[in-house]
Amino acid sequence: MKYRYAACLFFVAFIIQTTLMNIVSVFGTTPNLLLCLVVIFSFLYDENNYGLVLGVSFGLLYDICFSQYVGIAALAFFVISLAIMLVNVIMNKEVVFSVIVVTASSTVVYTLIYWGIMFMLGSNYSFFHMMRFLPLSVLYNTVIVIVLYYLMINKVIRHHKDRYYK
Amino acid sequence: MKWIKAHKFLTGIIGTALVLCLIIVLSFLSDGSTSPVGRQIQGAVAFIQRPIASATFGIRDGIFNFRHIIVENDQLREENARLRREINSTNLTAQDLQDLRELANIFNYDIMDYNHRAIAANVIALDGTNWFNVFTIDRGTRDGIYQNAVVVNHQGLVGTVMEAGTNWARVISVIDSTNRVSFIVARDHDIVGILQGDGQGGLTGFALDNQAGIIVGDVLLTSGIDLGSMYPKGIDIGRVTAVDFNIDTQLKTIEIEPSVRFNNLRKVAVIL
Repeated sequence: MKYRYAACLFFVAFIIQTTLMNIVSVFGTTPNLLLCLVVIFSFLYDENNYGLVLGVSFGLLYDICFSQYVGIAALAFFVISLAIMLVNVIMNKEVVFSVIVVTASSTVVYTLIYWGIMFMLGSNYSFFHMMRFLPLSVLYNTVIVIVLYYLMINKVIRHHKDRYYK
Repeated sequence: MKWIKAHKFLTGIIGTALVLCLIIVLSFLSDGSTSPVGRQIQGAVAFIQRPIASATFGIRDGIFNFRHIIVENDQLREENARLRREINSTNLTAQDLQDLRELANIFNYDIMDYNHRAIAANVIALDGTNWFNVFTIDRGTRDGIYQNAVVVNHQGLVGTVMEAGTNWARVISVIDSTNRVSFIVARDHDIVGILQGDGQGGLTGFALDNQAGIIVGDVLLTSGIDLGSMYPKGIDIGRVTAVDFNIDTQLKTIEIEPSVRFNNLRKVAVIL
């Protein structure tokens, strides 16, 4: 996938995240589309650094538009993308269970980083308040990443029986 | 330099991490306000979000059959909000205005003006996280909105303006804000206290008088005392859900359920 297509996908996800996603909120929880894209791009396109570059860029855009302090989401996406690229060497991209584990871990790490930095900056938000949305967030994000995975995997992993396999 | 050339990727990673940390620190030191470039970016994003947000609310409301009910509902909400403001304002002015005038004369303070101008605004984007309640509205500095302006809706106190651009403003809810709000009890305006977000999506506070007869179910209103952000007097904050006497601090602490349902905000009013 070309950079500009990936960037368009991130931008569309950002707009949907902040507008349309509020319709599909369940028990006050919405999926984090930007995190899902960071995970799937870092997992499938690790050589191109899509997740890293676009994650930081759109994390900053998100922070500018919504966060109390700029840079937190960008740093969280950066750390998650980097971690996924590092663990990719022991993961099998063709097994869907790998992406489930990666997505669940990334959602937990994202929440921990966000809470940790907000805590250091003096936020009074309790750890348990942030964590109580976690199970549903993990579920929501995992479902979306699995859908994205099945849409994108055939373009990333070529099978020798594919017509245009080289 | 040789090491940097030999380890370009690693250098890029370390450099990016440091820059992001620096951005967070600078943002914290500047109290969360973004740069002029950031404001331009947010203005452009708000321009795109505005029509999508209205379409979103259209989908949510059901665009086929219920338009006239929604219009009528909006009118009734506005009327309800106006009547509630009038009731609060009338009660407050009747009971307290004379006392406040005397107090103002003594301390040479300005008399609080209850005839604030309010401007209606649409919520065009919510933050999309599950933890905070930060949202963008479609009014900005050209409509007279300024930082720390108070935002309300028909249910009560919503929050304050965090940052304002030309045609947008970012609002932080009262439960997320670190600002403290001074309150009075609706049934007895002599009971005064201070509250703030409890870090769990609600509000917590205490009465200044530890003997105050505050009880579960009491409705709390803003007192109009300035604590960093000027909340006009008489805005509905919420209802007391628990009262406890803390022996260590010797304070009567309370828990409050906010009047406003923050996950369903559509229209708000900014008090100018």
